[in-house]
Amino acid sequence: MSNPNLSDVQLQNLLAEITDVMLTTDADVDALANRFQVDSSDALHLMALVGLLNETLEPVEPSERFVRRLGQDLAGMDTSNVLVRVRKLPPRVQIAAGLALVAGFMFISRRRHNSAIEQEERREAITAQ
Amino acid sequence: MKRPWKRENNPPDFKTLDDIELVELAKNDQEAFGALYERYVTKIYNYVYYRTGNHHDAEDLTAMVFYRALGHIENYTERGIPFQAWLYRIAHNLVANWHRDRGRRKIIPLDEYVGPGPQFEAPDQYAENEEERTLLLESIRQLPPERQQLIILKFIEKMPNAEIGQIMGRTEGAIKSLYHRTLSALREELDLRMNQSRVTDQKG
Repeated sequence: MSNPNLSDVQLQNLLAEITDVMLTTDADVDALANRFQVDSSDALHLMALVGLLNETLEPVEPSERFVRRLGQDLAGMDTSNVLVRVRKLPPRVQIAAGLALVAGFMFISRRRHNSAIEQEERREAITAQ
Repeated sequence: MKRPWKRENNPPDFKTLDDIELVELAKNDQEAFGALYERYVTKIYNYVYYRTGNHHDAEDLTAMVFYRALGHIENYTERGIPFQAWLYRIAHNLVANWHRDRGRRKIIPLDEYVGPGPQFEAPDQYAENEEERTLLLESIRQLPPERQQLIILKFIEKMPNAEIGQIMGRTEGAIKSLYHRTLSALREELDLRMNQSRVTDQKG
């Protein structure tokens, strides 16, 4: 790799390889330049930048409070529709819920039906008077 | 077929599950989503933090990323886009909207960004290096969003090019090429800023 005039592809490969080594080891720019026998001034210039990026960009940690709160908020959210949530229930509870739903529906239907009949009877009574 | 209600008798150890398994569970199980959240919250936070430049917006946007992920996880299917890549794409889009809505490119609060630096540096040398790091961070902020994303994934997350390619929807070769162009553009921008800084110092 001592050619001072690298092609674009050679330079891309060199930078990719050197960056990977730099990120996974403590090797500094000079040591890597020697190891990879880099003579190209372009490459050396960019390698120095890679070294600077590596030194400067450090991971940050979100605050524990934020992580905990968001986790709690997400856990408390309705993630899915009713059917999906019912599917999560034990089978017996699903059956009971289903029966309760049907019974409720029948009760309401019956009340509405009875109410309609009563209204009809009242109307007929008023008409007859 | 997965049956989440069986979990009561035989709870799975989420830590041993891979993303694909966890995502399938998370479609019906909030605890599984919680495990995915714990796995990725710091990564997404880092990404958003370096794109926005402050902790407050990083927290807001990170929360939005996970709310959106939770809201859409039922529709997510792994078709060549791993869950992690999907999350980063959500984050990328939300950050882009954030920048568009505000119409600003906020300068990074550098005192928060820059690490303490090596303790053995002489004060003059330390100040010089500190300025160089400051200018570097400003230069990064001038890059187009995709190039900023590449730099963050490479240097903060230390991801290999193949993984970055999955997130950015490009081939490994395209990432190598983009990386080279990004470094060249960054070098140019940094040199320009350093020259300007020297001129300012000389005038002062």
